[in-house]
Amino acid sequence: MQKNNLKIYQANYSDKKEILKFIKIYWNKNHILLKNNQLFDYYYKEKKKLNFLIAIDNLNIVGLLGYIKNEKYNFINNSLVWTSILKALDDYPLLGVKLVQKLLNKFEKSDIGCMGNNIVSQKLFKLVGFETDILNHYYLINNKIKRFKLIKFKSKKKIVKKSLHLKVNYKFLNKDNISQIKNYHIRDKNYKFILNKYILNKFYNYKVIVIQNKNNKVENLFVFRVIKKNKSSCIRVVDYLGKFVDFKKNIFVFNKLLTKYKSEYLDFYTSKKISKKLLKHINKNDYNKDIVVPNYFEPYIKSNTYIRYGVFYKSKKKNYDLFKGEGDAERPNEIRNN
Amino acid sequence: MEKKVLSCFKKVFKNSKIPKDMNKIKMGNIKQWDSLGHINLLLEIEKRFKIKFSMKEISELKNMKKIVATLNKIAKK
Repeated sequence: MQKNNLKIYQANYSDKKEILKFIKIYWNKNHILLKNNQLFDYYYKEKKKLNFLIAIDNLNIVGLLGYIKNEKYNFINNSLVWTSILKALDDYPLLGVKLVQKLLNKFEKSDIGCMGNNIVSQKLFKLVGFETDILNHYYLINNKIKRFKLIKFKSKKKIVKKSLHLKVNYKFLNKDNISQIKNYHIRDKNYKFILNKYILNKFYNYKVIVIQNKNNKVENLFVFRVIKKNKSSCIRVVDYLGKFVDFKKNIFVFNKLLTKYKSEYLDFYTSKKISKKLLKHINKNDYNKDIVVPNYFEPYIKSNTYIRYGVFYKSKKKNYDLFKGEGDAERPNEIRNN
Repeated sequence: MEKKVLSCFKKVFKNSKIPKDMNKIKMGNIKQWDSLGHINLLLEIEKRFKIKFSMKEISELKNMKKIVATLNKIAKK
């Protein structure tokens, strides 16, 4: 194989067929992107371009790196950019590193994030300068449920938490009232981000709740979806905008949601560490064998999952509070009929 | 310095034969020194020497001689 004419550049929309062929042969022949044209375009199409860096040798794709720009949702220049699929052929040593370097150079002023990395890519990102770690996993179970079909545990007693009795001012946000929070933003996430990424999402039905103080000032907001499986359900909180002040209020609302949706459990992954004090009211998954809080539902896999992440900071703002929904981590993995 | 670097090689490429001649220690001559091997090796050297390689260095350090020379340069800074 010739390796002298290696070129890396952003793909044109006309490269789509070759990208799909590469994914099919070298990544996963059953990948959802091969089956769902709409999904591919939703994530990667940008005018006449595709948000993929492709490495070409001898007219063939030999490596690629997909990316998702938060700008797509929030319309703010130089917002965070998230890496997506990364694959390079073994015949091309360090091509993965070169692709990531190219991305870092392409977006000079943007911080670059990666979410849901496997062990190998996590090492690659660490080597090129990403600050890497594993998300913390927190969960609450619904004490009123008698038979649990999704979550697995040995002792219910150990994970039922002290209930909270608070007065919390909260409400659901939708496309008609989201403008009420138009002056509120955290990091590069603003109301447009919430509206475009979640409320108007074509693939999942997300719900948004805002928590306000007595004077109706926004304290924080969070995004969740209810997953129905095995004649049961769970609630996944996928994003959060706010400081972790008065998080007890959120836990109170989480418990309310468990009752409302009759769900087995509610969980969320975050880079933030919740204080020990609050662990009286919420569980942290310590990944021992006695408890399984599933993360994969397409298909459903009854096992705990570590979610690895990293950020390459170019801005001075460091230590973002990250959530599971960042980048394409919430991308569907199965075609659904509904 | 060379001894310390060599111990990194031995730790990362424990299932491969490391040439005795330093000039022959390069990517392509050691079975496990592929892309992943390279990442593991440089992460191990960074940890051992408490340094951080630049982007350029990551792609260029494909033989022991260069690695040692780069570490010497970093040590002098």
